[in-house]
Amino acid sequence: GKQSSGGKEGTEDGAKAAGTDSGVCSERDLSSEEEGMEEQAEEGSDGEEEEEMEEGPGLQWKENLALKASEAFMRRQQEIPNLRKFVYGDTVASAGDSDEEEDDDVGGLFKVARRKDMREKVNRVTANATDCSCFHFTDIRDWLQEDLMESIKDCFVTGKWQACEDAQ
Amino acid sequence: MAATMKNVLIYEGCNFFRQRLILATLSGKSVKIKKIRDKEDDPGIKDFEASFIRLIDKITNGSTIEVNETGTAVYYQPGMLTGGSIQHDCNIQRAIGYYLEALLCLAAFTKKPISATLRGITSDQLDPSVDLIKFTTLPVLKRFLGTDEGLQIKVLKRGAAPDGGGEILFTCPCRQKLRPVQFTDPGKIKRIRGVAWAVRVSPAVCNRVVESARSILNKFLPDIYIYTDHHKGSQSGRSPGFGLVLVAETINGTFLGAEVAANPRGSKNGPTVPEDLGIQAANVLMEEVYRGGSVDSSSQGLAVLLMALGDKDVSKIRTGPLSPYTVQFLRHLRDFLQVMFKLDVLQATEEGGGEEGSRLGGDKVELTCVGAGFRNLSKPIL
Repeated sequence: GKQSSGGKEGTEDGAKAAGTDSGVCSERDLSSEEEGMEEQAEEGSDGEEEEEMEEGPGLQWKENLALKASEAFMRRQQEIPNLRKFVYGDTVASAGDSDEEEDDDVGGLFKVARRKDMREKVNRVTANATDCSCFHFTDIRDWLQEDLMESIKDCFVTGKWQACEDAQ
Repeated sequence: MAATMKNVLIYEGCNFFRQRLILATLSGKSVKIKKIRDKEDDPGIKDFEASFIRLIDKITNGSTIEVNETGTAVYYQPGMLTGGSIQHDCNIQRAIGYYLEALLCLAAFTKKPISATLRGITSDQLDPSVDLIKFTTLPVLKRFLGTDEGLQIKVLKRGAAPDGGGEILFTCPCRQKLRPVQFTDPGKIKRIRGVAWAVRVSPAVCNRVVESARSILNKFLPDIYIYTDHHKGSQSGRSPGFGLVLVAETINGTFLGAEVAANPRGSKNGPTVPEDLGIQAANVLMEEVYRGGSVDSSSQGLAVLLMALGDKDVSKIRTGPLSPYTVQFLRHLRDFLQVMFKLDVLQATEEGGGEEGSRLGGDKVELTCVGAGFRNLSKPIL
């Protein structure tokens, strides 16, 4: 059971690397952003040749682009609740990720940027940011709106109490 | 990120500078921070970081701090935390809150109880103000200490940004060890308190701020009292300014705080209208209530640190979404103290879904850990 799930994660990671805005572009000298997107997507479909070939070559990648984007989005959404992974990184969640490393070469030429590299890239950006403990709001909502007021109504003593904590 | 070399932890960049120095001091590990603003026009540590280093030097004995010529690398070998009575002129690039937050983390583990007089900016728009720390973070510290005897923050003079001129007194008792804390039920908010402060502007500004804030807060709760605090003469610092600090207090002793300070003199955004500031502060407080938790967002960092340092027992708290600062604190705690937290996301239940469907704001996070059993070795046992 464990092995199969590990394999699945491997392929998922492959798709992830191809679908998301990975570091492929860093390996190449791109003349324009748009061109880069196309090339990247092409590479992505190369990686999963077996699955895509039966539906025919050509402009197939265009459909996949939207699908992959939505999949990547869903995955990101799911990742946010996985707080442990977000805080401590992949080392905890999957200790043995040695089999994933093999899938990293695309066509034997280009190396797909691993998620670890992505994190390091993010770190490089935040490393010299301002050291501040506060949450700073960019957009403050108007809390007099009915639905917003409703959403925090029971935080106050005037709100509804649970049966167990009601006054005796 | 953290590469270990001969028992020295190595980091890069100026962010989270305080956390690294604090944890190095507590764990006794040396730390080296490289590439501080190395790509910027003005590379190296800034004056406020230098000022922070001097503050650390004042409360420790025998620590070695080396900064290279360009200021882009700092090496810190910690000494013993001595504490005692200190005075420090905080650099006005950052508010006193920046320095005070670090002192709160270290104060419980000093040899002698700390009594610090800090001078500088009491409130600005970046750091938590002294008042906010007093209202929200101090109760958190009190829980871990198990007492509030000798624990206080006193604003002696107010100093607004950009020139400061404020002065505060912070005293804290020291402990041999900390209590583990289980605090997951914040309870319901029973009252809202606040301070509208103003220096070197008309005292009427306070009243205008209070009135506009109340117009929103009264829709949520009847028990609201906002004090007005107008300082004059030598106690009012060097710059004009005003602001509002609001605190929502629950039946179980959780304090959720929010604050807004007016634009400093000479700001690009022009002067702040007092009415707008009051409304903004009320809205920020409601955001904080929506995020909720038994520890508010500005105290998360201190809470996770004290949980990790606690006695060898389980500590548990509930918070709103973790701030980036707290996330990094959790990572650092693993690097320095080998303490990892169990993190559970509690999804907000659907609205109006029967008995369970209470409207308590957004998703919460439950943090659980076993303390490292940290002992304050420098405190004499009587």
